[in-house]
Amino acid sequence: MIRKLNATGRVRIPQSGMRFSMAKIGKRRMRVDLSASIPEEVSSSAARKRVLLDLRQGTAFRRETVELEAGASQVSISIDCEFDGDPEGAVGTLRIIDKASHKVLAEAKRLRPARAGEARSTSILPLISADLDGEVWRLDFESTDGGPRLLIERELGHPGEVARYPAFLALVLAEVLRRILTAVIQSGDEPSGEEDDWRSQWMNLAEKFAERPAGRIARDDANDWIDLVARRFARSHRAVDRMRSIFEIDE
Amino acid sequence: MNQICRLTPKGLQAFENLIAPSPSESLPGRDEILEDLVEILENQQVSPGPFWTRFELGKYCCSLLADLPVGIDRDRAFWAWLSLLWVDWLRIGKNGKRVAFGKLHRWIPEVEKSRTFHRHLVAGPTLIYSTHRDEPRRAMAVLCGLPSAPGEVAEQLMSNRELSWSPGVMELATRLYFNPETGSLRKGAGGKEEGAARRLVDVLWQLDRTWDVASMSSGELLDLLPGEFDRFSKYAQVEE
Repeated sequence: MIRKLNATGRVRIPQSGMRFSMAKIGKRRMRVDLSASIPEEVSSSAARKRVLLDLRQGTAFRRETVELEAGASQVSISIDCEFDGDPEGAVGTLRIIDKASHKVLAEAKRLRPARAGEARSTSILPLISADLDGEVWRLDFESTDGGPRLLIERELGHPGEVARYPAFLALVLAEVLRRILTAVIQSGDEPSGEEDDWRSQWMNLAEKFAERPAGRIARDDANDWIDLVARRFARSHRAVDRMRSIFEIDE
Repeated sequence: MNQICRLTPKGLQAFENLIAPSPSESLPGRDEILEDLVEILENQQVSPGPFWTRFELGKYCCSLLADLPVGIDRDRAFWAWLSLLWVDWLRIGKNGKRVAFGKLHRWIPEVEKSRTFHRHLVAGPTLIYSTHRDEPRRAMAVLCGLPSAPGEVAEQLMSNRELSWSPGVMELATRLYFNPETGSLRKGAGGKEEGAARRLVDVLWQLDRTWDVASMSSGELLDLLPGEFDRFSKYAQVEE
């Protein structure tokens, strides 16, 4: 299936300028703040509208519903809610729907919250603490929208800090890129080219390192291209230098 | 059993060793695990069971969770303890025959994985009963079966949290596939043919690109279903 956002007439809610944060305020309670601009073609329509914010993380799911005043050009949500997940790794979907017909008028997907007081991350690879039962990291494609997440053993500490550790950068990230690109190509789903399509985001990243062969590519050619991307990616992140400094190997 | 417990890390490992890779019928060591490798959570009576439908099992476990610490429903050691405690009747399938243990996550849940957590034989029905606790019978399509055999309809609907959360979607599935007269699913509901649950999920995701499916009522959703669902929707129309 080729996914085209505009095939249904809905419009994209721009993520630039959007504020979205989540902060844990109790074992199962979360403070959620979101503000976003509503595209003019939606705000100017006469339909009575409703705003839906879906929050997901692992098996946790929550939906918040807010009524939108006629003519409003801004969505603003500020709530304390029950959410049995962690802000880190949570993903949101924001929808504005026609209250009567339930038609989706506008949407923003794969929203990643900032922690309170921090800027919102726009990374295409969420880092998640998880109990990996002996493994240090694992790539996970099981989030609802199929985009990959990098799970990192909880015992090692904050996943962002683990991922910045030189040995982790050197040994893991190129392999992560390789596996994700392989998954994109093997899925057979052509990336839509839309900004919020995870396949497109990864292909765009890969093409910064090596131009992708045009058209449908044979498996061997695809593997060669992925190898080239992974090599150049590792080089650009100075993987060997990092390992050399860890082992203190002289030239 | 007069105490609610969870398995210790050693208990979890021992349980895992017991059922993988080729468990024996008698599960030697089970009583020792339940006796020695547990942590007590609460002094409270726990029913020995059996519960012969996922509905009854989910209902009972929801009442059990009410008195336990917040977050216990994401505790794999707690769910593993319950499934080990009830292992004898949790393995009884149709015609009273014992079924294979199957995948480990049926007994020890993967609490971080949204696509397998619901497959745990005890946590799965509890999760869905709890989600629809205001009207749990709307989820009969995924709760009517034996605990040992959740089935394809449950798998299809519960592996999508957005869909299984939605009252309208769950009620739609029950109206289409659950036969209240027999207390079981209609023939073909779990198959691969047109109109089966597998197709329902595909169609709902497709519709969700235009309409917000999760906020619609079962009647509104029924009106949007294509003709391939007629063989099931004729039952749903009668109920409306």
